[in-house]
Amino acid sequence: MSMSQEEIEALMNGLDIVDDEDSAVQEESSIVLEDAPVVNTDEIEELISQNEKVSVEKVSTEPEKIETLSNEISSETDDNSVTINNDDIDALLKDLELSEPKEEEPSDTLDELNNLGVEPLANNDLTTQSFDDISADEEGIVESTTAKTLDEEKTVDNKDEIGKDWADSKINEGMFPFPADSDTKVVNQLSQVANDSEEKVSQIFDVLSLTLDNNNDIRGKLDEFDKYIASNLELLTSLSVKFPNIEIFNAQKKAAETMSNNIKEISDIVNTEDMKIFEAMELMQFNDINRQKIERVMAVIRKLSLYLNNLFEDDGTSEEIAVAKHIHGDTNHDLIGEDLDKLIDEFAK
Amino acid sequence: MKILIVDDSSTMRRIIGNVVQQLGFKKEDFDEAEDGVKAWKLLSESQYDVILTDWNMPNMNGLELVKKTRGEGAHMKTPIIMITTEGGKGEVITALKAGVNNYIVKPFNAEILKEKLDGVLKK
Repeated sequence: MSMSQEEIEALMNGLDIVDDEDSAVQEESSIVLEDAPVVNTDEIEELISQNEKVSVEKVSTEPEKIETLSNEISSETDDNSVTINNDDIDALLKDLELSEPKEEEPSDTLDELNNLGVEPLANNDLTTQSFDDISADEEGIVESTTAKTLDEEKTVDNKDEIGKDWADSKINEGMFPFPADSDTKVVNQLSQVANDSEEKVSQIFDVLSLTLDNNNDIRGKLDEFDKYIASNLELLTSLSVKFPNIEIFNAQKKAAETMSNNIKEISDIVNTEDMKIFEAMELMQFNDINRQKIERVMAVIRKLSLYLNNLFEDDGTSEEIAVAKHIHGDTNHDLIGEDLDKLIDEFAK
Repeated sequence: MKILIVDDSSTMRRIIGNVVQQLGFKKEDFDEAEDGVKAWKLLSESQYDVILTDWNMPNMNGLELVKKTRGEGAHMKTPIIMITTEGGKGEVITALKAGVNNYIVKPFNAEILKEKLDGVLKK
């Protein structure tokens, strides 16, 4: 596929590539910084508006700030502090990682084209592959071996990153289990749950004990009140008997009786509360019962793990055999099928 | 009266201690141990009137502790009550054969412990 001079010029203008050779290297980075992140900024802003988590202030149209934000988000994902909303950020980062090399590589090739006097395409979505096609079409343009080696290295790195991202995304989706680390091993997790539960129950017990102690204090103070009111009541009773015409003694006597009854009611409430606390404490035995149930599950898992290891392991005498990647009958697009002869003929030319 | 409470769960030790307090005992009346080994150490150092022990514990389990206590030391005649989640008939028979005087299956309440304590102390 050939391009017109106008198309190539348009591409050059679109990518903002300067003719000067020295400035071409600087512009290479400016292509990445100015073109690619602007698109992704919108995506990030959209994501921020959806999630309402990341402050909008962090997102700026300046490329440096965008890169910082991207690094922050990627470091968050590295720390395994992934939330539901961060899945979207992961996807965005993947897009960034996938799109960046595609945009960098054409600029390398564009420099070469520039040097060779060929004007580039007016297409922002150029890839290495499309440039390969162009170079194959254009007579007299030969790819340098150095550029090819760099491309291959980049492709290998990209494949590793893509593979890692893919595995991470599957883990986040819950399709793959977590890698067998100390924090993610099933028995370790169960043990941790049992210990955490024990610790929390102990803390709850502290709270209940404190409430019991406070209730005891209240009960002691109520006894003092009760004694004081009883003595007052006795005094007021004798006064009201001696001075039946003075109404205030009778009124105060009735008030004292009411207070005495109230204190008894409060005392009953405190006693009932104590009983409930004792009931709660008794119910906390179920933490110990459940812990032992968890320990029983852990024991089963350990035995199962031992059994499966014994079942699958070999005696170590047989060498590992190389396995075929593509076999007839596989549902794989890489299978050559009827194109085999054509390919052989093509190579024979 | 001095009571020894043996259980690997700190919560259970506190619960049993609390129930014992409800029955009229004071905090000074009981000691705690988290496994059979520590319990045996306390038994070697002090004299206790009742032992309340769990079954499943690390290092030395309750059954081993009962057998050891019945076999040697100063507590060969001391009443032992086993408080455990093991509720099988076979386990109860095993424990009784080992020398426990009574058996409580978790969960339990204050009334049950009082009843069992009264029972072993009367004897």
